Amino acid sequence: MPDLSQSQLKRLTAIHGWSAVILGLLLYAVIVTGAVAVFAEEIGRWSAGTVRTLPAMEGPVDARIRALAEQVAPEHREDVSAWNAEGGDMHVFFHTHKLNPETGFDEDFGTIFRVGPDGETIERHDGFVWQDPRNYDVSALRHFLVDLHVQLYLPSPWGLILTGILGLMMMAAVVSGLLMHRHIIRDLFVAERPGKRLVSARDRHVLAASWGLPFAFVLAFTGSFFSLASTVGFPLVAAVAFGGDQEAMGKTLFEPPVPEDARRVPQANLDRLMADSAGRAGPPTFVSVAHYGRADSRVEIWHDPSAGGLSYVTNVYEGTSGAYLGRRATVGTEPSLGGTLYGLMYPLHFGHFAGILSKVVWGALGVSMAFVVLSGFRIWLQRRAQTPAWIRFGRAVEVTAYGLPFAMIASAWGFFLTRPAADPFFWTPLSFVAGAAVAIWLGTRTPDQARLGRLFRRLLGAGCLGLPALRLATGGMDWAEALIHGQTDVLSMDLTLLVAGACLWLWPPQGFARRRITLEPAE
Amino acid sequence: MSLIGVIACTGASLAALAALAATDPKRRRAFRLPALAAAPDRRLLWTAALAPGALAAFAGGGGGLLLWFGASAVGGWGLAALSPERTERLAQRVANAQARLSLPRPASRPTASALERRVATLEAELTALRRDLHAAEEETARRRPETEPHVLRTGRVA
Repeated sequence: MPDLSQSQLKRLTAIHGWSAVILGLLLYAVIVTGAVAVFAEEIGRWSAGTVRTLPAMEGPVDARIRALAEQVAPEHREDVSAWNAEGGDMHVFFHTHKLNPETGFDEDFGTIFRVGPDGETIERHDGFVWQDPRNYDVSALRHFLVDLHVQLYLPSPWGLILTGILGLMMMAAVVSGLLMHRHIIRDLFVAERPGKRLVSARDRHVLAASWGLPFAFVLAFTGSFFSLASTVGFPLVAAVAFGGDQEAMGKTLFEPPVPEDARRVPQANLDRLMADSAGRAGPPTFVSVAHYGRADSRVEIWHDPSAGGLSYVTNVYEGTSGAYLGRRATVGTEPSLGGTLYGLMYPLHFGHFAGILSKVVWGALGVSMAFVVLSGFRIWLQRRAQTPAWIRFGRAVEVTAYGLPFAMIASAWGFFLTRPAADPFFWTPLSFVAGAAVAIWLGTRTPDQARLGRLFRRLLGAGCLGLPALRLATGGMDWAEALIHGQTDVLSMDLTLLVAGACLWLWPPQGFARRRITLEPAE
Repeated sequence: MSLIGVIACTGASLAALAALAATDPKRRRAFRLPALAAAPDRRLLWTAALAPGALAAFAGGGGGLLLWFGASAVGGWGLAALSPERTERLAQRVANAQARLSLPRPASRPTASALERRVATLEAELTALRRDLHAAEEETARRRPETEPHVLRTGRVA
């Protein structure tokens, strides 16, 4: 570590602390929702509650796509994509690209189907389908929680820009924290010292931050990349190198060039191609056909990272002859270091490279980072415990710390309560707002912080304990059916909620206010 | 990927990290624990903690290595965050549970050592409390003229 002077150290401390005070609560929200969003797939299956004996992409696909192709306008057959929905359902999207007058951008325009396990059409939507999540997502709860993490439920692109800035801020906090703390290895095993002193708060913060340091940097970097690439990075590249034409940039970066040939020819059997691709890289998760039914058609079949691998695998086939053309480079036409790094962004951020085990680890890393944010606030507030304004800010921290998870649980209650008869895509976010409003109201009405903490934990505990029962009462899959069909997501989510609820209910009371306030300086 | 292999590697690393935590000199000083008569070779323990990473990479490729690293970081934090006092309480609870279940106990720890540690922890807390009290009294005496009304209003000890 570089040897910093006292004034440099003071400046770094100010940057580290003030940046956290200004944006730390929003960062906490992104981290907590991220720790939950890691389990988005599981939450989707748990909340949708439909039986999946076999993912749709592992069954017959070709005949269904051929039958659906007859039902759409010919111009919508330019591109076709298909992917797994919940249960045994499959989404199939026929589309072209068109200027959306509402947004001013070229967007996908076409027809999306949700097809059941027996090939029956369950839903059909036409137009700019990505504008309404009802068109492509079955679980309003999953959609809301992911959206909250990705863009804090703000309109695009502002939400993405904000989360991108929060990612950059988190990186700055990691670097400044590393520079400020010069004895990181020496303090790696020093637990919180007794006495509830300022140094005890510092021990807690430093310990959690030190162990999670590399992951905090990686998650912040990849998160800000995902947020800022589409809103700032790619438009900038398009403006500089492609005269502002983002479609041309996309084709250059992500679509290998194919000579134009518009002759109509029979499409190769997709089931055969998918079976071949599965033999090379495991079960397919997504299939995309460019120029469906034309001589220049190309088929891309996507797979999750293979055993021991980290990046997605995409196999490319000629659409008419079905000849295997090889693995597609992540960026450009040839494998490259940039392409590899770009491909690594996904597993490093989502943590889905080794199934549920890696997701659990990534979720735990998220929890540890949320702990770092809150423990950092505690140091800051303990140093300013005599100032009324900071006492009020401490109250805001306590309300946010408990209120956010409480509002998330409230959104799940709203989802399940409205699922049978109302529109959960409307009520789920509204329930979150209601939960947040209740948390703020409780925060203003309960002056004793220890009592407030106890109250929040009881409410959270009750909310978690009641969710499995509510899910069952509103038509969710019961445990016996889940076990018979091997739907372990349902059982494990319910058990997790019950255990978490019981722990929160029984957790011994210990809030911010019970911490002794002393004037001892940090070591 | 051999998940069992990666889990075993993580377990081995955590065991080494637990040994590192138990013998860490600064941790022992901070909690007023008696210095170890024969300090173990910490380089050897660090090697034992990190070497399974190479095995995890061998067993599970890049995914295995990343999984091992993430799990070891989270587990390492959990181990380090447990204070000696809490560890002692945890061990006591496990022993009590075993006694209730009439399971054979592991070789019992010398009670004197547990008592000594408890006394040392309490002494540390007492010293800290005395220091707090002294500092707070000094601060109160120094600031009394301008802070008195505020202290009375908030009811907090300055």
